[in-house]
Amino acid sequence: MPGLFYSPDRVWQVVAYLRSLAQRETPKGDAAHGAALFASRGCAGCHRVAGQGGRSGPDLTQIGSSRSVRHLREAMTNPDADVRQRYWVVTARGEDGRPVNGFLMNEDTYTVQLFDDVGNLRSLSKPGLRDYAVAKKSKMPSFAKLPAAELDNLVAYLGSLRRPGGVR
Amino acid sequence: MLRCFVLLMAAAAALLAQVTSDRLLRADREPANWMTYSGGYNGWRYSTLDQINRGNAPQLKVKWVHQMPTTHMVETSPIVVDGIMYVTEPPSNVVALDAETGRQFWRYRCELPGRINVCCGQVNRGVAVLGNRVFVGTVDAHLVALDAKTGAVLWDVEVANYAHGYSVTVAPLVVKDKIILGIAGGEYGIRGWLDAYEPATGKRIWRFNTVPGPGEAGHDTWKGDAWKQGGGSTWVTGSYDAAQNLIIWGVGNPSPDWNGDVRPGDNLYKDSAIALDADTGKLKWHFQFVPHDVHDWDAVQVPVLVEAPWQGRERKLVYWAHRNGFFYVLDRETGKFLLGKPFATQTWAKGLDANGRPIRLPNIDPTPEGVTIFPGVQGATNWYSPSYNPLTKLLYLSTWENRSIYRKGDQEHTPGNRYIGSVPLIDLPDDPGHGAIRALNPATGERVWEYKLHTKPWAGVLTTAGKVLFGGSDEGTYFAVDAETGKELWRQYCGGIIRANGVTYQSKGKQVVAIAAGNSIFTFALP
Repeated sequence: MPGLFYSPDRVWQVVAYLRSLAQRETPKGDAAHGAALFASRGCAGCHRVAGQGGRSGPDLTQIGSSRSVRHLREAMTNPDADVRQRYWVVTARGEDGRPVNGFLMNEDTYTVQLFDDVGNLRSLSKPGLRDYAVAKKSKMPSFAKLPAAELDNLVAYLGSLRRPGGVR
Repeated sequence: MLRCFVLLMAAAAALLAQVTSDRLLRADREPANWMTYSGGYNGWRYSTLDQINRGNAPQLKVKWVHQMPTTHMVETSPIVVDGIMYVTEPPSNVVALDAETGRQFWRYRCELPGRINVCCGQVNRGVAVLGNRVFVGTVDAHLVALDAKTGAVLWDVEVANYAHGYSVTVAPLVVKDKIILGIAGGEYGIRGWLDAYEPATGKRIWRFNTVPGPGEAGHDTWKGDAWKQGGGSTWVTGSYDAAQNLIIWGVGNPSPDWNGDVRPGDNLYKDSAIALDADTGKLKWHFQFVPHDVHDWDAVQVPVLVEAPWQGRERKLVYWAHRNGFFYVLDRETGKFLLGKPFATQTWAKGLDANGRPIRLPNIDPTPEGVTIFPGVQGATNWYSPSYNPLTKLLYLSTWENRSIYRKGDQEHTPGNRYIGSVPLIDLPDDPGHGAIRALNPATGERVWEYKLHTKPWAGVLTTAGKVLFGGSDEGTYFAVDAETGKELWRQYCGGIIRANGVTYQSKGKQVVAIAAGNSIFTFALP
């Protein structure tokens, strides 16, 4: 097979598709209870569903269409296991000494684009930075200690977040 | 507590960056941004920026280039808001770029079905913005709302059945609290419309049928069932007259294009300017440029709205250089015809009567053997934008000098398949014609100057307070000319066909000009 020169996004789409073929597991929990937990546990502080919630974590509006049950469970119990580049954490300090922190959106030799911690899109020139570091860790805490039933309910809820019908 | 503070800060920052309908209404006061398709509701594609002027334009250099991973034609007109540039990548993707460096923040990739019916390429002409949302139409006839900060899908609604030939290629227009959206598919026997949608939900608020059905005004201009597949697409972004609360938009050709036998009558509102109440979608007036069109001369041009003296008094006017080769001036309050004059070679009409109705010459309709007339099938101008400059008071156009052989054939309508009634010969092999940028005096329709082009341009024009006009060629050159004289100031070969409209904005206080060329966005600035 020849190599495929896909963008990281597209590679992940292929990976997600292949994983979906292997994982036909049906969620055990109750999606309605999971939705209530999602609200009460403060998940929406960082995650958006249908335009409601924060932007500090992945938008989950259609997460059930692209992630298997196993992946969703692992994302909550071991968030560092699979952190997409878009959610790597940038810690930088400008020439004026002011800190600039946020999530990495894009990067090249000379510049870095990030979603900063006050919700702005920022593009920084690297030569102008006093400090610059990228942590490939998730900012989400682990929910491994949640009761198993609650975890199942949350997974069921996330799995139910899918594209509406039609060709899409 | 700290978390609450952070969330509040985020909310405050987001609020500052939001595009409000008030900002859109006063877009001319924010020349650092380019917030709507034509740069403002008046359809001028004009900027008050003057840092780039006739003296220094020859020094323009490439600032950055964004290459798109696409093999489709790029027709996008960028939107720039507070340092972020939003462009569509055909077929229906969206990217957010740093307007200073061209580096990408996010990309929305639209998944599409395998077979899409689009007559002239799977293209897209741009996005609209409101609040923290970006709106894009798709070639499978959806309207999608994206989070402006992340590109995440907020909602995605189907506006028509793509399998029946409907598609969206137009850049939506935000008017107050509505997303105005047109439809394409005039070569597939659609029944066209102009719609308004809720920005928060994608719920449709109103629809104006461009082919009136039974009981709707204008239905008597159709016979039998021809109206059901009568065409009338709305695939170029219109303008908005806030004082009258009127959306003014152009309507495309009737179906089938080149055989009118199955649709006797004037076929309203084909090839017309329509003026709709923005709140209700009710028709206030219309003006039909080509009754019973059999040449595919859509009214898919950007209406140019100007207040100017006319016969001794100040009037609200519409300037409209139409695909049929005539330049028109209409009264914007009534739709009344005021002036019509050819701006390019035309051999199909003796002139226009007192109401602006064309006086057709004999033997101009398509025949099985073919009839050769000016302008050609693609018209004397087309969808690419004109520009009006309030300093020179001139209207600028990309124009074609070209003729076609129009043929007529029989064709049955089947949903989702072409319904055009023959295939014309667009370009004569031994005489493909040429193009030009022309400046017209809109008070008289007289030509003031022209900048000749070897080939026929598909690029719109942009003018600025620096009295510079930017235009592009099919050969791949983007150029600047003196808006008063047409004298060339600067040119840059971009290495790919330019079929798009340019915009200008400021980044870090310096004026930038942007245009799609080939499969890339090119930006230019002074050193």
